[in-house]
Amino acid sequence: MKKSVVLSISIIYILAIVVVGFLGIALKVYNEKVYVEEIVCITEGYEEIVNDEFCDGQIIAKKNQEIVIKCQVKPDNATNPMLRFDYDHDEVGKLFEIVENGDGTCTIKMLDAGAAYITIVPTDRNSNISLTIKVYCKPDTIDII
Amino acid sequence: MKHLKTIVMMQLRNKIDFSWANSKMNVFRTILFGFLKFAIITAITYVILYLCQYIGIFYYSESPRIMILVVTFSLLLSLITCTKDLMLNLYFAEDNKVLITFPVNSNVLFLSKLIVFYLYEIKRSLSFLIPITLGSVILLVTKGCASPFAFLWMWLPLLMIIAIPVLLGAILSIPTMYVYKFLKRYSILQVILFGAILSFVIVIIIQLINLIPEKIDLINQWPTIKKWLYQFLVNVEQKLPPMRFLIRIIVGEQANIDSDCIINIMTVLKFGLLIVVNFALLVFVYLLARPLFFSIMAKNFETNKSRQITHKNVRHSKYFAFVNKELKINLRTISISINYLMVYIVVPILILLLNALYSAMDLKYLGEILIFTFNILIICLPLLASNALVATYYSREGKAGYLKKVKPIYALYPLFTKLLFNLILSIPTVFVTVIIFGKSVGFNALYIVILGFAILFLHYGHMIYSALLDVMNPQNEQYDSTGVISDNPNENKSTILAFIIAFVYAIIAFILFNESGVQYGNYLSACCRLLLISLLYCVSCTILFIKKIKAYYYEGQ
Amino acid sequence: MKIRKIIFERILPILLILVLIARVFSYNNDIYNYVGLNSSPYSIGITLITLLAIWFQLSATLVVGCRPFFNIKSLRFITRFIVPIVYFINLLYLNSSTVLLTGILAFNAFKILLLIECILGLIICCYYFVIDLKEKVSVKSIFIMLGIWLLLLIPTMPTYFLQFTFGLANPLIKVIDISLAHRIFLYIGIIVPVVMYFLLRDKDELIRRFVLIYVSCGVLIGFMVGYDFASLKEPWSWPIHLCNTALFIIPICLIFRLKKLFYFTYFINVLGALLAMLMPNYDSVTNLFDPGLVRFWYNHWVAFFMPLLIVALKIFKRPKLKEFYYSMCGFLVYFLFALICNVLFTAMGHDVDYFFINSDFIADKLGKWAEHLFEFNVSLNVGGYQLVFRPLYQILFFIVYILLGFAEWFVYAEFFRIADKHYDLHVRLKINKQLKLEYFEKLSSEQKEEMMNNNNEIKLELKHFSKKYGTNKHYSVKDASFEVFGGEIFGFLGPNGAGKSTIIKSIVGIQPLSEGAIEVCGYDVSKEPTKAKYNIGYVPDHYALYEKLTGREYINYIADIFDVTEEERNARLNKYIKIFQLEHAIDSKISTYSHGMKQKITIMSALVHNPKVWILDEPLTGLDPNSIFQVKECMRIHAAEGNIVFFSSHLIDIVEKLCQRIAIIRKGEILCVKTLEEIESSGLTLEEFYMQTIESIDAVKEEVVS
Repeated sequence: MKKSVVLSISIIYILAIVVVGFLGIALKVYNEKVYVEEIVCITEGYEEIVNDEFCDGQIIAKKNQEIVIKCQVKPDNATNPMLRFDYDHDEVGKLFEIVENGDGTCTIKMLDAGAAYITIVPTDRNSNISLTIKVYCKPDTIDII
Repeated sequence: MKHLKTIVMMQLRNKIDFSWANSKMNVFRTILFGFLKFAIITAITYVILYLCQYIGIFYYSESPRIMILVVTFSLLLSLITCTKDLMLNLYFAEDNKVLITFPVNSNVLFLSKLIVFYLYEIKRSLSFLIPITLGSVILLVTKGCASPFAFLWMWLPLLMIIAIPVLLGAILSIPTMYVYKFLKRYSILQVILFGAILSFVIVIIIQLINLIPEKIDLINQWPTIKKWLYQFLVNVEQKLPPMRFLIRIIVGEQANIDSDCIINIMTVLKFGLLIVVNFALLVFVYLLARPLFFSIMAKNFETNKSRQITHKNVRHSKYFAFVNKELKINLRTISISINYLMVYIVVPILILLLNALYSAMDLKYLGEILIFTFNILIICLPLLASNALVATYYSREGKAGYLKKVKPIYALYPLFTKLLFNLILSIPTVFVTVIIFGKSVGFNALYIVILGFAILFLHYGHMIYSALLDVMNPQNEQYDSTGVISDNPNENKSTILAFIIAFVYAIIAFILFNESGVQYGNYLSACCRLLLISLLYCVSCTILFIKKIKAYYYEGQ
Repeated sequence: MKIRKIIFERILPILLILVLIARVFSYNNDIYNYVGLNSSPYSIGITLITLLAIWFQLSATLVVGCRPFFNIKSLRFITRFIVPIVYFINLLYLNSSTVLLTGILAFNAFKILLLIECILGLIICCYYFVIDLKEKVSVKSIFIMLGIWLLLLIPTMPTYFLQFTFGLANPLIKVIDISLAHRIFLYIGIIVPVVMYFLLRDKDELIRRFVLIYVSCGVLIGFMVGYDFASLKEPWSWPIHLCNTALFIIPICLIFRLKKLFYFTYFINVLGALLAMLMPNYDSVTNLFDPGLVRFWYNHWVAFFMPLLIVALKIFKRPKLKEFYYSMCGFLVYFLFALICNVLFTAMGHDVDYFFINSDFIADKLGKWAEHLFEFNVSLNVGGYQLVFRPLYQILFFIVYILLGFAEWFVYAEFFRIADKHYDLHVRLKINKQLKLEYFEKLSSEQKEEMMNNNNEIKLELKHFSKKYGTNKHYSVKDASFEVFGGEIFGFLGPNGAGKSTIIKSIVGIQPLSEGAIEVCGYDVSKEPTKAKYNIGYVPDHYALYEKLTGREYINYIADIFDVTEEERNARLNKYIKIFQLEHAIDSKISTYSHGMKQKITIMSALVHNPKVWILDEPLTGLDPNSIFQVKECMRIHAAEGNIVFFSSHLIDIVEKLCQRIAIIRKGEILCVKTLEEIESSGLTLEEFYMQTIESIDAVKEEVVS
């Protein structure tokens, strides 16, 4: 093969790498969504529940004690880490009071003995993920003489 | 010395085609086209350098570093070519048989050959070294980094620089000649040497593949790459002081890298030194090579009597006789076989390296389509360009080629048999290459098979067309008298067509893959359409080949 | 008789065409409102038959109109058998045709014209029926006639036919923006003319002209269906777009052979049509069966390929630069005319855009820069009308079109060069057809045996053989005739360049014959080359060997081609190796051989198949005396076996001793053929005789000249 032909092919070979390298690269898209894959509750006073089919964790609270439920989402760089709290609205004002703090936490105060189930759900598309926390207020004990 | 001019002109007329000087129109046309070619290469060089500086690889005043790289590369290539060509020209040329009988001193003969070669080297440099240098100087001058005087001055040093590989080649041609003769005598060694070089190249490529980083992102890594390129240029300049010396003679001195290039007394002194070096080399060549020249040249026409083994007469069928003959000739013409093997082995390796680089890149949809396109282009280009040799197959037989018409058999058989080995040998190459490509981009077996056949038929079509060029425009007489032609029009046409076909096919592949991916979500229809196009091309070339042989072959002289 | 001929073959057909044209203008556009057969006021069957009848009538009338001017067999058959039926059906369905095409049943211009057309047509058909009564009709010709009739229907298909018959097509099929459907339409524009070219290139000029005139007229009539008398009164609705002009110019140029006007359409219309096909100016929602779309594509196909086909089929010659300049001048005239019409009619309140220089249709596709250029305008108030010009855009448009015209010139030149080469190939293949058959004939072993040992007389005969090289007018060999018989050693003498090698190369098949014939053992070298070559052994003037092979390999290779058996080749090879003393070299590569050894190998390879005719072209050049002796002995032995030895040489002494007969050739002419005895009996040596023969010719010529 002639020298000029070999040279031309070599130049085209290098161009093939350069052109693809510049025109074909996928640019990072900043609104590329990273979805929430797990919610972990880090509230103090959390006690593990064994064999409770209705919730993932339990918080034992006293009457009128304010409990702040804090949760952490995984992965850390989730695009939308905001969480939503679902609960039985009929019980609000009777069994408990709840305030969503707007920063992904909520404050719950048990007004009476009983169990409040708070379901924490991410606000992005991934609706399969949820965490249910039971806030349990024990009834007052009666001393039996 | 009075005969020197005559002998130089005689040899020059043989080496360079001066038939265009016969008419004014031809002279005008040749000069115009030559000038256009020169201007285009110069312009391309200027544009490339301008773009490199525009994207920040280097500053204008740093252009001499690029020149060092280019001139080094060019001189190295020239040195290799000059050594080989001078060796053949000085010691093995057919016209030596005639020159030796002239009533001239062997010194005159030797000098005439060197002069002819030097002039031919200047002609060759007009296609590469000189326009590239001129392009670089234009950039320097237009950006104010060099004085316009450089335009006038640069030609003198260039003439001296071009002489360097010629003189060095003349010296190196002597040991090369001995090695060449040794290899020629033991042709198995040629094969071993070729195998060794090939293995070395493969090892290098594998090492290169291992060096490829996991992630290649030219855009984000651009500052690093720029820095690396810059450092590379600095290293080149530091490690090649002789080349720096030569470039300084052309463009002038620089106080530092940011300052302008000035042609001053230092430059002139350096130029004087270059002349002295050239003169010293010439004297060395004259003292070393010239005494050996005559004796080596004469010896190369002596043939040794080798021991002969008696064979039996073996009968073959009429058709197999051609196959048998071609097999023997191909195996005994090592240079052609090696030429083909190189292409057929290098192409898969190139594709392997290319796809290893691509797999390190994170690509979008356009990038994927570009990968397919460039893979097809890089596979097709060398394969089709290698068919330029096919365009000389029939002419290489010399007058023996005419005797096909005397045989009681339709000439299509022997003509086609000549292509048979290429047709067969290219099959594994094409499929191995396509398998490498297909596996890298995740194609399934069906796509690989279809694409393999598509490229194979394209290759066959072009091969048959190249053979047809040789049939229709035979150069038997020229090959018979000289053994080789430097400017075979059939070869040139075949090469140009190879490039055009490869590019057009790649563009069609781009459009089809793009459409297929968007419309159907897979590439099956694109592969099938490419196969159809190649098949049509191959069939039409084959039909044209057969028809033209029927119509014209026996009509030709 | 003459008057009858003038009436029926000139006046009536022309009148028929005029009636057709008038009828076409009397449609109204209601027909375009029908979508599907169900929308017709008649039943599906009647509607379909009526539509087909209208369509077939257009073809029938064109055929009848062309019949007197083109006396072609298929046309005669169609006029006799098909056309009357078509007219008859149209008479039957006169009412339905009238209603569908005009909307009213009562007698109107259309109905009257249709009636006249049918009657005229039938009269002419009856005339031709009687004229051609004696012509026999076969089943094959009927099928051909039907096939041709179907093809003739294609150009005259009315543009409303598809929509009326099939309704609307799938709306997803869009013929725009280089979609698949658009590409198919473009491919049709390329494939159809190529097919037409291959079908017509071998036909008579009459048939070619008829087809081209018919197609162009048919498409023109189909196009004119969209216009009526009312539209003639509105110049702004006249079809003056560039591609519309092609529809008029092409048939006019073909019928009246107007060359200068034709080249306008060749350079300008073709380019315009191509650009229009690539960028159609209908909406993307236009349906596939829409009459407007059908009209667009018929118009532009014809404007694109008809001029090219006309030149390819050599109706008009390839243009030279002069014709190109004429076409550019014509383009200037058209451009100015279109420009003025545009601005004037636009100023009058009509939406007109001839040649797209009055709207931003093209500018839109080119980008912002073109749009900016378009926006720059100059207004003139003339006679109360505001004439708006866009000088920059329009001048640039004009210049670019001219430049594209130049580019077109080069493209044409290249395509026609390729077409010429293919045509030349086609012609040569036809001539060589016989040769093809002979070459592919597989000879059985009995046939080969017969050839080798045939009872044909061993003879080499030249009969008035002449040879010209290429397009040279001068003959290298002129009218050479002689015979050589078995058992002879025949010497061929002549000065350099006399034609000896030419004759020898023509005998062995390296060169073709220009005139005359050469027979080898009864086989003509042109017509039966394989058989002739089996009987020839050739030693060229300069050895031509495969130097990479050994001597033995090379001879075996030749022996294989000549189907020499193993026993024979062993015997002959051993014999010749001994004679030529090549025992120590036969298994070495030929590249190591001396000149003499190579020559010996060539001789051996020419004798390995024991040819009946052994031809040697200056075989003794460069051989040493020993080798010369060996070769001479071979020649004597070979001739003694009853074979022919035919050789040319400059060595007169050797010829004198070796040959029985000689021929002398000079400047391509055989001066004499004599036996050595005849020469001796005249008291001269061969050398003296030779010199005398050559010089006496010179002397005679000098005398004639003086």
